[in-house]
Amino acid sequence: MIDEKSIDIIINQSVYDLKENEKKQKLLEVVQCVTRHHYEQCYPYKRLCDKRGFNPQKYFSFEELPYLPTSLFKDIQLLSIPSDKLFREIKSSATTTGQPSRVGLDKVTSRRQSKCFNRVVINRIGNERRKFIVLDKASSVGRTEKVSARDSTIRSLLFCASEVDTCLIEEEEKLRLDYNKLIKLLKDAEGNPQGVVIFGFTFILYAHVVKRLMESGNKFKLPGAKILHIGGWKKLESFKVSPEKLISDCCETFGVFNKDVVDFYGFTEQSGMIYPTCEEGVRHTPIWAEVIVRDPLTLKPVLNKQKGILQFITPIQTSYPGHSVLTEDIGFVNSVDDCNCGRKGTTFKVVGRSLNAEVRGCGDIMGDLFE
Amino acid sequence: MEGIKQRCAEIMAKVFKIETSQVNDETSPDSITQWDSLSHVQMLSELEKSFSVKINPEEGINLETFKMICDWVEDNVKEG
Repeated sequence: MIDEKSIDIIINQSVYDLKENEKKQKLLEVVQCVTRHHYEQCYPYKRLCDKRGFNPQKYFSFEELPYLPTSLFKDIQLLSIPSDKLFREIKSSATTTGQPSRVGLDKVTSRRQSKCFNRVVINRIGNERRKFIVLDKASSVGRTEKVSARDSTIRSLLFCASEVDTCLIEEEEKLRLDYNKLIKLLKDAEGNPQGVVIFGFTFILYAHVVKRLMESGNKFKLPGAKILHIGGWKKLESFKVSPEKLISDCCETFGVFNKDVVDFYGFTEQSGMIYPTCEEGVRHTPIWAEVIVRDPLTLKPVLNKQKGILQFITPIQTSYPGHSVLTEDIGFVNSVDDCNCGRKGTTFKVVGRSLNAEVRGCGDIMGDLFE
Repeated sequence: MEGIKQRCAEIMAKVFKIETSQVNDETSPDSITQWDSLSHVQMLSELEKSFSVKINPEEGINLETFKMICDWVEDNVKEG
């Protein structure tokens, strides 16, 4: 039986307060325990470990822990619980291959994921409910029979909302910006002393909102507002927009500071884990996660500042072996424990997708739906 | 407490478009179809207005049943 308490202890601690030497041993012990749980409860995972000559009963480091590539979650549904304990299934946006990743959650994992997600978001945007302007359609925030990964991401952020407005319209399965409504919402927001939250998928935010507002010469003064965005960058390649340009264009359009534009990174295979950019523009691992960067050819860990494929380790999922996932994203570790924002932890940047990776991410898929 | 319960039930009835008689201690998103993330936000705003309180995000996510809501209001509303 897994010791749920050991996971609860770690996810109840301050999100970014421990230095590496204090965090590493605590996290490793819980990860080792969770690894043994998955080994015992998930036969395909056990076979994978056996095949790689990995024995979870022996001491191992983060670097030695086997990783599952995200593609594996497309092929089979891995579970470490009996199927009658399944509470929710999360599917990623269908990719260009048409095969989404699927992960199965029991109630405990689902609650744990929400808690971790909420704690990271509150740490970044503050423990205060604000008005949300969601750059999506109205049905994305209401109750619907089917919940897409995109809707699920939007809804998971609403716990920080005091009011919610949307400004996209769906007509014949195509999305269109309700420009007049957006302008009215932004004008109203200028008089909101609390500062609103504007949330959208990266491609929509830039290509259909910021760019359009800039072209029409519309600028707003929204000090205290937060611009949150999430999703793939691949669709933005044709606009030649870098993260820096997106930030500066947002600042110019909405009258906010660089630190108020927050780019969230996360992936379905470890849902609940979210990595916002901090005020200094890098992402931090919380106390309940670690990142390892691997050489794309040898898959061996590389040194800090060297680019490679990102692997994430976290013990929060006990219903499926998503505790060590090799993504298709390229990035690098920037530093450890010395970010000027004051948060501890490993800081990293995501710089792109590996060459053979398909277009994916809710934001990328959403771009295809636009008129 | 009875007064608080009555007012909370009325708020839930208004937001979720149900009868107050349908509300009991165990009422939760699992028992009320209309209780989704958006109507939860609306309910919190109505509670804030009605009881002149501020509910922060951390508190808001823990208000998962009618009983939890009433208990929170009881603990946080200043009488007078």
